[in-house]
Amino acid sequence: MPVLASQASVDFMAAQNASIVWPAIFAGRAFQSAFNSTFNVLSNTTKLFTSVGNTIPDLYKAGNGILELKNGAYIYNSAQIDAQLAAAELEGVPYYLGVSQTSTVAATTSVAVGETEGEVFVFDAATGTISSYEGGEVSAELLEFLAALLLEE
Amino acid sequence: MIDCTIQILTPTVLREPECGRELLRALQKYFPTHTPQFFGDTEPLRNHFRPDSADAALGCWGRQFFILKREKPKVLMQASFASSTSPRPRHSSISFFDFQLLDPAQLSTLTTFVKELAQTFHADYAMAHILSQNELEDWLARRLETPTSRPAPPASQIVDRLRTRISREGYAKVLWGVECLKLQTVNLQRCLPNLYWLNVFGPPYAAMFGRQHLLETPAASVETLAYGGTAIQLTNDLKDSKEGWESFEAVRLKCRNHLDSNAFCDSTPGRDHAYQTPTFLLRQPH
Repeated sequence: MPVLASQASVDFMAAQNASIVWPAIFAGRAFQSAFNSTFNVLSNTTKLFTSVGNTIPDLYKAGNGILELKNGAYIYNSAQIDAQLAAAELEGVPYYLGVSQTSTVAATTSVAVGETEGEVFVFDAATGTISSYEGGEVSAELLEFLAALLLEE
Repeated sequence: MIDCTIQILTPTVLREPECGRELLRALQKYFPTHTPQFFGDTEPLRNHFRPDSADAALGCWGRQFFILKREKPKVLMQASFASSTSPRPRHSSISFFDFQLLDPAQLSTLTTFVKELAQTFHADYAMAHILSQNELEDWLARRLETPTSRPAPPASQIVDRLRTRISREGYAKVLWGVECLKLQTVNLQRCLPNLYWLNVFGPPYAAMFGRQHLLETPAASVETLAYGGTAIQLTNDLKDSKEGWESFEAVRLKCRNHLDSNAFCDSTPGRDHAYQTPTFLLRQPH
């Protein structure tokens, strides 16, 4: 069956996108797996619904907190993070954002995370350590949230 | 260029487009050289800002965030609108993370701009700070001397990572993060992180410190604002030199001690220490 020119073009685009997107997805999954095994927690499967979008954050405990892990080069208020921030504000729980050693986090995102009483932190997958993105130690509240996830299992 | 940062915390809901219009009007009035180039309510910002059609930009004011940006001189601003239904009430905020001044002559315009915003939005708290490389070096030296414990990495690794960030993002962004990011409702309800170059204390702080006591602060300039706020400018300027930084630090310490050292965060007393804090009445109509 002949392939239409437009169809061939679409397939080419898909292949090109896959070569860019899939390595990023695999790296993201490896980052998340390293975090989950370091802190002995399981990924969340609960979907959260907000007026700015619906989202399944990486870690979640109702009434306790929301945590998302990102290992991209530049982390900003994307639609996904906006929805998670809205979910945190709606529920009145802190939003924690875990990033890699090499990530740059937008100031707009840092403030928005802080306003939920959460924090941005750096997870070093090689050493299994976490510290505040801004250079201090992480808050006792974040450690308590991780402990609460651990107890849930 | 002089890197500055501004933070305004208002108990008003801030979602009405008129609030956005007043903010843009003040920016245009005092800093016509700082007209935004892009705007939006989520990133990346794709909408071009046109000063003659500000109402079009205000179409996305009031949802969750409203962001303005420009380059040379740099401006990055985010208005964050507090939810009226969240179980954790907080201030709405106007944060200029980066606000570059072209020369020191613009410092007095900056103070007038911040005082006008504080007045317009009846700020409970507002500040402007000049971001100095010497202040960041001071902070990094202290960080290096403060031991950490698991699950945190050693202090030397934290400082190394911050130095990498400085080379990537610039010292102003890193200093803003370590010194000014804490200026949010939840932290102010525990203690005041510090005094900054310009501080505006709204009515809740007047009730806490005492209005007369605020007016007697040994700073370069102290002024009462019509709505009941008090603007305290610590020094006339803050030169980014070792001497400039040290003389600013000396005035800051004197003013902190005058106001009440138990109002300011301190790492010595421990997590459960009861500081002197104000009572905020949040979710007020504009």
